[in-house]
Amino acid sequence: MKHVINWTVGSFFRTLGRIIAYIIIGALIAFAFTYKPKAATLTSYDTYQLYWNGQSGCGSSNKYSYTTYANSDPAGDLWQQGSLGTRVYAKGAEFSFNFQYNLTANKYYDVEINLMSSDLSNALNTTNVYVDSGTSCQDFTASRVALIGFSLNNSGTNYSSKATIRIMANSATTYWGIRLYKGPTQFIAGPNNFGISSITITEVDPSNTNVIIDNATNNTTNIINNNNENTQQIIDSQNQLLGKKCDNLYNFSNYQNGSIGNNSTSESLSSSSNALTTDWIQVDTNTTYYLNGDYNRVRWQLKNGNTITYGGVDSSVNTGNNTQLRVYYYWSDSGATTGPDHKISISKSNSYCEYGSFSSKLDETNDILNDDNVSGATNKAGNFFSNFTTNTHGLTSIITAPLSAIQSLTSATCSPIVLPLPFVNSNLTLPCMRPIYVDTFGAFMSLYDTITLGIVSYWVLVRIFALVKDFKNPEHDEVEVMDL
Amino acid sequence: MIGKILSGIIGLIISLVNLILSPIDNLITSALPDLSNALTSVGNFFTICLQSIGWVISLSGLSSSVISIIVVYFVFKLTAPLLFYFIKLAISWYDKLKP
Repeated sequence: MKHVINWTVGSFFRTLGRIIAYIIIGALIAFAFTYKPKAATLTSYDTYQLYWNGQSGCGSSNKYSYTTYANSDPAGDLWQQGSLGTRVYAKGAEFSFNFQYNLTANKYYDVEINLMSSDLSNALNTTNVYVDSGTSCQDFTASRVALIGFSLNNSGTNYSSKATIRIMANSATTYWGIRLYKGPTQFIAGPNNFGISSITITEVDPSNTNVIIDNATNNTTNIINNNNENTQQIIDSQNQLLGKKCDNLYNFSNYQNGSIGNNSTSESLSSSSNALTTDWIQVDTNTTYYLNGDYNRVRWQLKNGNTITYGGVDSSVNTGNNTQLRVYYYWSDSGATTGPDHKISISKSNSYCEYGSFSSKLDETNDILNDDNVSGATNKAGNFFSNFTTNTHGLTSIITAPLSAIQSLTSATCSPIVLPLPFVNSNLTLPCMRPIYVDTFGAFMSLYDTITLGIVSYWVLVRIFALVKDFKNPEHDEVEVMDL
Repeated sequence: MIGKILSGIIGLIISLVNLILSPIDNLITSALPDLSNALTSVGNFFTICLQSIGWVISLSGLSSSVISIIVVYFVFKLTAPLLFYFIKLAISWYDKLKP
């Protein structure tokens, strides 16, 4: 009788367990069929903001202004969105992509870069997102980044310019989309009136995590004509290349001996070798420039018609309506043919800002010294053994299967399993369940994690204690070969 | 980083096992090709299973901390006794060889 009761009760619970198991499996399969990853969406805006850079170059964010306009024709907005195939992920890396604009005067568009991320507050901040456009660089904190600030002239109806977006994002889900806004018919805000008729996108090797700046093909701001490599370096995109925000127009660190007189108000310098910029530099009007440096035998000249004015180191000049400036040595060092490195620059800021080959090496050294990123050590540590050959056939694969399993555990990342179903020409996708658990159960998963971690930790500690205790047995000197 | 080192250590052990078993594998391959195919098929089956291990872990809902502890335990279990055995073996040889 006792056996009958036991069998009956056991049978009942076994049947109940099977039913529950079937229900769970059915629910999982149904969920797998219905589950779809959340599709990325671009937010449609009924207004847009135009940003432009002031005349003072990069610096603090308060130098930038914006005006909000109504989007007069939202239905006419053109979209060019990063598709799945060209989506750029920027996980803890920096990538850049260039925009080539063909501008026409009778169409008015603004460009908006939509950066989408699961953690915009982390991916988008002043240091992570900034825009370089020609001669200037702009910082934005908004998720919408409008590209403006081109140095355009009004000599034609079609213009070309370019901007480079550089993004440092910390999210694996950051990607980009581009929206061409059809702006109001009266487009009068900002320093330049322009529109955009077409846009092409060129990605600059998004897999490269180094600083990527295209400075070769679109150097439209070569404002220094005298390319005396001994005494000057063209800045424009080199600053961007080095990731520095110098707005120097001119920079040198080499000394040339010569003599042209004490102060020069003559356009013709007595010795061209003493002119750091033999040709006149084209500069912005109504802009204050500073001659910064540590060498007081340098002067700047400003050309105002037939009148030349000059100034020395640590002085400033407001260009007014004039757009021509140059720099020269005004006296010689007796007997000296070469001198120590000096730091001289013309910039829109009143402090010396270094760049160039020498300073870049110095910056690299400083960066290395201050770099606390040890992620590279991880790969090097892992690669130490990577050249060992392994055999994937025969006895070796069977005997080393447990080790391979453990090795897989160390780097196991879940990817959905896609199973092709016969006859129905469809795929069964089994999604990774852990994120779903977290979304569904919330705080309960924290409790689950704590409990499982405690149980497993207890089990591991007990087993390790037994192992260590076994080490103390002098008679036990066998190796558990089968464990391998 | 610890995970990389553990992976490297396991890779080293697998390589050593491979080194030891290579003559036997080659012998089976040349003399008993059918048996070799059968053994290789078993290995391929394991490989397919291991490809889904990430999904299985995700299905179990175990956190990365739990997985790390399990990995560390098995690495300890599979390496420490071997090291300990070699140390005892060296000491016993020394005791027997010393004058």
